[in-house]
Amino acid sequence: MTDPRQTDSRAADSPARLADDQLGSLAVALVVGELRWTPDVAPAVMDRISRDAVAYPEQFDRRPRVPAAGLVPVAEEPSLGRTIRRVVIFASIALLVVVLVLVAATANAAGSSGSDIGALAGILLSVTEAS
Amino acid sequence: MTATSNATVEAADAILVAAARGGDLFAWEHLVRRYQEPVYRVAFLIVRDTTLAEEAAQSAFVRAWRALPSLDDEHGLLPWLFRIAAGEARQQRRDSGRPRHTSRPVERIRGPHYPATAIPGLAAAAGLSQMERERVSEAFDRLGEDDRLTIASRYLFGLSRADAASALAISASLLDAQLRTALAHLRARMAAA
Repeated sequence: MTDPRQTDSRAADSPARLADDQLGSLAVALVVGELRWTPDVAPAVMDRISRDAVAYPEQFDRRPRVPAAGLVPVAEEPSLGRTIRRVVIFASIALLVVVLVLVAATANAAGSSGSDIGALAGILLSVTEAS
Repeated sequence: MTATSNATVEAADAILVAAARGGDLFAWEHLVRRYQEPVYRVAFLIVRDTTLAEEAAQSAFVRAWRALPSLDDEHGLLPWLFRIAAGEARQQRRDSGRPRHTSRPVERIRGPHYPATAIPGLAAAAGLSQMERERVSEAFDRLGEDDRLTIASRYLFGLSRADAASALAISASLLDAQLRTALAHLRARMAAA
């Protein structure tokens, strides 16, 4: 037989009678209290981060994405010399195209096939327009 | 912990977090050592296996390092780490194919380790018999993962209501409702035991 006084005493201490907050704290503490040791995960964590940093440097680059003031590249105005060089190159290509077209026309007039030269002239013209 | 020492820890954390955000690995290592026990405990509550919990804790810190720029300074580091650790532990449990409810775990020690620090809530268990202790912890084991996480968010580290809600990424009012449900489930499991 169980002593009734003992039963009452145990019931008063019973976890079921604890307030919600006390029961929650007790449950978590009992479960985590099973752990006698805590592993030192820091060496493995730092090793993994270091290896990832080597493998994926762009993901681990913590430098600011916006360049510091004074280091922002400024779009340069085209210089006079560069403009002249561009005009000369364009004129040379245009002259070459004209010459080729004339050669093709002459060949056609002479009765020979100038389709190859004409096609070449077309390609050159399209390249010139693209540039 | 006193309010003063809490403030000191928070201030030190803020400095270390700022340094780690700038790419300082030594600062991050310091934070890992400071928070590895709480993170390991969160993971253990989910996976209920020390090896899986250790792996989850490692992954959580690697993931947290990558996600440092997204850290919300308002709630501090611990709720944020709790959320990441819980996510990694759920993933570890799914990957391992381990069932949600398991038998009592066996503690296995592999690499470097140190003795676990005392758990404040355990003092309340001093007056309980071994049978009652087991009844509570087994009832907790039989809870669903979400119930366990909800209870842990509030009581494992004594987080405030707002911080616990932040740890679960839910509103404080939803936390209250989930907590009531989880504790009701716990009482029901205890009664059924």
